[in-house]
Amino acid sequence: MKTQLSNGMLIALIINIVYAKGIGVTQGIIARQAGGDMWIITFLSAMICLGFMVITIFIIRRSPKENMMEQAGSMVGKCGEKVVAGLVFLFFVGAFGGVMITVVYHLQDYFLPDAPTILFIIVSIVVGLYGAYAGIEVIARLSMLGVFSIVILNVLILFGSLSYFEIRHFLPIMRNGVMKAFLITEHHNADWAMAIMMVSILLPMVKEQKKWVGSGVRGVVYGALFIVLWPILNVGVLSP
Amino acid sequence: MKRLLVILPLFFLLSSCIGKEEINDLALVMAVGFDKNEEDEIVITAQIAQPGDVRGDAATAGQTGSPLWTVYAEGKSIFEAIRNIARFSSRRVYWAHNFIIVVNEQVAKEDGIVDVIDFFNRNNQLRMRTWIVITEGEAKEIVATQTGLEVITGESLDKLFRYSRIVAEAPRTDIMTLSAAYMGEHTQPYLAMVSLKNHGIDAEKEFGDVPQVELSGTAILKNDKMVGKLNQRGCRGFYWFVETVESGIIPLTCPEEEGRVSVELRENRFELTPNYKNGLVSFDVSVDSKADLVELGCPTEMEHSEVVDSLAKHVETELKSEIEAMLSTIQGEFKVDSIRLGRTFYGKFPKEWEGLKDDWEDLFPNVPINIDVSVEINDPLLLENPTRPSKD
Repeated sequence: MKTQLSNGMLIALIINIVYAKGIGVTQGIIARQAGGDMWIITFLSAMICLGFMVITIFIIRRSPKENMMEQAGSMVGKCGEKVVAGLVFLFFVGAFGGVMITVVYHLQDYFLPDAPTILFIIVSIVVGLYGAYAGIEVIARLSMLGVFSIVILNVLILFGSLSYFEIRHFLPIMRNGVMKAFLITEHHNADWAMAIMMVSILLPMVKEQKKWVGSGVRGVVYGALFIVLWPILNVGVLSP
Repeated sequence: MKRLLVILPLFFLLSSCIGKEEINDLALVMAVGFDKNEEDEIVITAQIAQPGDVRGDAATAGQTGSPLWTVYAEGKSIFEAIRNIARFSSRRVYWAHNFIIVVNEQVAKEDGIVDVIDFFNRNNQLRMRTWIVITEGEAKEIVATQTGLEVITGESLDKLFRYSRIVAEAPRTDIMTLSAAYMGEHTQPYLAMVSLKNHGIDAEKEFGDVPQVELSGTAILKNDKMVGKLNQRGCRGFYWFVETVESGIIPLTCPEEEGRVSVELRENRFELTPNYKNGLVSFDVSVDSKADLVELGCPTEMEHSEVVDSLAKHVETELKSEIEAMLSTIQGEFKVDSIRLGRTFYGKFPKEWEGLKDDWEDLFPNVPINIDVSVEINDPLLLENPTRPSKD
């Protein structure tokens, strides 16, 4: 039986793939470069990538039974398909590195500082391998559970930070200029690229083709809302 | 596949054992003090709780009956001093539950507190919301003194700060706010001060005052070194700029006769507006307060409405003079922008700030600040006349 994903699963996958690095290492880099404008840059990046997500979905919809690599194969032959597949593989190897840095160091620093780094790497890889073994449907189902965890984490961080929150920390707005703000979005754009590339591979497996655009847009919007809360609280509480 | 199914759970089961801490093996630090000795070494005083005894299970086997163990150790650096505690402590020193860090004034003035900030920022056990204060006397005295209602001093001090907004006389300073102010480009740190005063009474002793820890002002720091302190009156003026004033008592004298009056500030609004005209920086401070008359110690012939109108003017003058007194000390004496004027100016005039920020230290002492205070005292409608005898 062909693997099928619901549109809700697609939304959950988009949120999950972006969230961890989006609130972690990315925010640290943006904070160093943009200071109090970090929330605007995070939001801008999500809006830019929303456009790319819609374009990607329209492209895949032209031949809805084929993913990005298969479409490349249809257009330029098997060799082209392999080149695109190789590029996608290299992209996700790089993305995996960024996500692992975020996950491993945050878990180690905040939860188990005495545990060796290799433990986190092995456990993360084993979980990933189990996901790959069990298939995309299992990963998608777990990602729905992941969305609940994300919501709970966001609610907790919100309640924990509100009493320290000060609006005056947000001033001045756009302190580095509009152009620089756009340039700094590259860090978060790289996170959203993971979601866009993932969608370009998984979309043919998603059930309701008519709702593809809506699901993609909702995935980006919900993901952006969950992520942008972090830089907002960061600026409101810490005034970087 | 079967091997994988066996190995996979082991990763999760075994990983939970790594870094495990048994409560019986830990010396839970509740409060820590930093002093210096005559050899110029750091003296760390740690108040350590014994959970079983704090709970009141003194009779439990293995417990000493004393809930607290206060110890000190010396070293050339903070880390060395802490390690030296390990030379005689039977348990591992554990910082995650520490409530408060007390720094001796002399240490803050002469050596600065950058090592304290750095150490506690790096220490992954310590929570960033741990209170940090400065004391005029020895930090070890504050740490070792039984104060407040709680069994543990650290917990009493923690609660003292949690509810200190009611008196609005010392800022609530923790490692997070200290680090943010120290590392911020346009901000300077400040810390609450505490001291020991005889407030408690021990009925069992013939002579009875028992020292208690009380809030006693604000220490102003330039970078990491303390440059001076604000007194109680200056603190009240300072509080408007750095915290949200929820409440506050203004003691006054009666309008026309002898006696004391107390007014409690209830709803307060504070606004700091920067101005930039013809290359000159100035600030407008606006305070709007609604207050209640909570004590009128003079049986005046005036009606309540007349009394509150008269008192409102007095409260306005008092609040204004508190802010002016603070500004005069901060601008005239310390010359340190602890009240975030530069940061506020930058918020509204970022381009102009670029041209001013390098000279701000010289400009700050002479920046004009216009203060406008407006107070409205609620007229108690059902209490038409002040409390006075009907015999007259």
